[in-house]
Amino acid sequence: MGIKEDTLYNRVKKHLKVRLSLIIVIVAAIVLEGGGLLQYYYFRREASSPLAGPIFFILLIIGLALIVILMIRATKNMKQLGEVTATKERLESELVVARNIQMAMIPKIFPPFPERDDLDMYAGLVPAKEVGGDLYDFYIRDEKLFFCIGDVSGKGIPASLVMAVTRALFRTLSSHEDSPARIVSAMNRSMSEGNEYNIFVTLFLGVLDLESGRLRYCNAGHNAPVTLTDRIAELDVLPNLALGVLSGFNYIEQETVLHHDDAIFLYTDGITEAENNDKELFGLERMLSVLHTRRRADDQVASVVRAVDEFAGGAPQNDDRTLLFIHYLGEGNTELRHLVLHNDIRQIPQLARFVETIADEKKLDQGLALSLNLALEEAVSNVIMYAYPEGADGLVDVDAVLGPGKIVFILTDSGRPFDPTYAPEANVDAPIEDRPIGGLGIHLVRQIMDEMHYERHDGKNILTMTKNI
Amino acid sequence: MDIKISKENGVVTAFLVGRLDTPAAQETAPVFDSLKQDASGTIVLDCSELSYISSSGLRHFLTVRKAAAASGGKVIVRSISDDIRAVFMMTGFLNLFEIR
Repeated sequence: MGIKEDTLYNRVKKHLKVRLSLIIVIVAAIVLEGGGLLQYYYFRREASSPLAGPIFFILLIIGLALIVILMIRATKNMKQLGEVTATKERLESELVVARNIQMAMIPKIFPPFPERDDLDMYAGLVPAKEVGGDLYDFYIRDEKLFFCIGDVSGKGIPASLVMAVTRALFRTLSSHEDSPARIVSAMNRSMSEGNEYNIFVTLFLGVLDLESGRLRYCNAGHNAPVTLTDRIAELDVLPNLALGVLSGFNYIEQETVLHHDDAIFLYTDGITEAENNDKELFGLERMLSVLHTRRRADDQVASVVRAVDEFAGGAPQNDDRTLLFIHYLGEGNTELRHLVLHNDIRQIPQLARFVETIADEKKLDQGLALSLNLALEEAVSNVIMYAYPEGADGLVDVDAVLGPGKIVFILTDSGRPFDPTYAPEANVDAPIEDRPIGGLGIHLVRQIMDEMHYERHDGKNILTMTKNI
Repeated sequence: MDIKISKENGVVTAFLVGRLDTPAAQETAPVFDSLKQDASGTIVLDCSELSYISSSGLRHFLTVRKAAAASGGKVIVRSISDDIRAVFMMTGFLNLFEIR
């Protein structure tokens, strides 16, 4: 608000100055013209009047004085104008520098991973004239592609600063964390603190496991990316909330799977909201119509950029246009299965059917199927019997990630914190008198599974069990 | 899950049929409790029709075995499948029971 008032005040001041100059010109003209008239009357008709000479002289002096004042004012204004122009030029060159620094932060060398044959990527950021706040970034760590695309609200230096901060937070917070929801939550916490200027960032963040094709993602108010599989469609995304709005917001993670030759296309609204000279928007439909399945990433990006340019027909570009195309060429024969159970022990047979179906699909031998069933039952019945208070209804989510060479089971519940991996190792060699009755369940899970990992996140117990097959 | 009990010549035999999973173990708790009354003699747990066992089922086996140990009886586990043998192996039960 302060800035707006200043501008208005300056405008009024400038306006009054112009008016004053105009009044001086008019008065000077009247005075000089008046002198002329007096000269005419008194010199020609009543030339004998003794007053004529002095009055004419006084008017002439006043008129000349006014002209001198006018000239001084004009010179001063010219000088001021010169100063304003210099400041403007300096600011503009600083904006160019800001833009250049911003562009230097995003990956621009394509193909970015020429040594890899499982990934074909291309990206572009077509900046608007004014410095904007779009960003994209990506890198590979532990055979996983971490990537994001984002759009900072507003324009100019503030937006470019926040863009730089967002990119730095993405790099830092994803360096030791694989879960998109947790990376996004941590970014949000940092960006919500002291966000006095109320600058928000919409962001989509994904982690693509390059071995399995499993894509985990978390959206923070950004537009849904497009997936190109057998068909072209928007990815199912929860909107959640833009970064920087609410510090403790609970970001929900989602996941899907990319198979060989599938792709995901991310963009900012500078694409879909590009305007032509009739103020029409480019729109999602036009964008989808120029995308094709099973094509090279650079061609896809080029065809969208070309279509937007043709549509805009030279209309001014008001917003950054950013595109990120990830074409997955790995093996990626991963599948996902999901089961929700109530914390009722009578639901155990449902779990058994769930595991049997998976075992059939993956053609596992009966012994392996039975031991997987056993491990799952032990872990799940543990949750059912101990996680929730007596009589309270609660849910247990069972996710199965069927990858090449391994199956990962993920149990999630909202019960009281309980880390089964902390249970002491059962002594299975003790004589019968010393054998405790309990503790065999977790022991069996440990024996059957190759890895077991517990974490507590957002009020949930998450137990991840991996079996190599 | 079905359990049939027969008593012959002082030997109590329990025929376990089906899946002894967590809910089945809860249902059959009274049957295993009653078996403990014969713990001073010989108890045979016939597993020829037992297709699956979870830790809560193993717990019943263990309580019966403990009762026998306390009162000088013995427990014989008969005709276990390879799959259930594998579970016994993992839990050290092969050393606790007489397997036939």
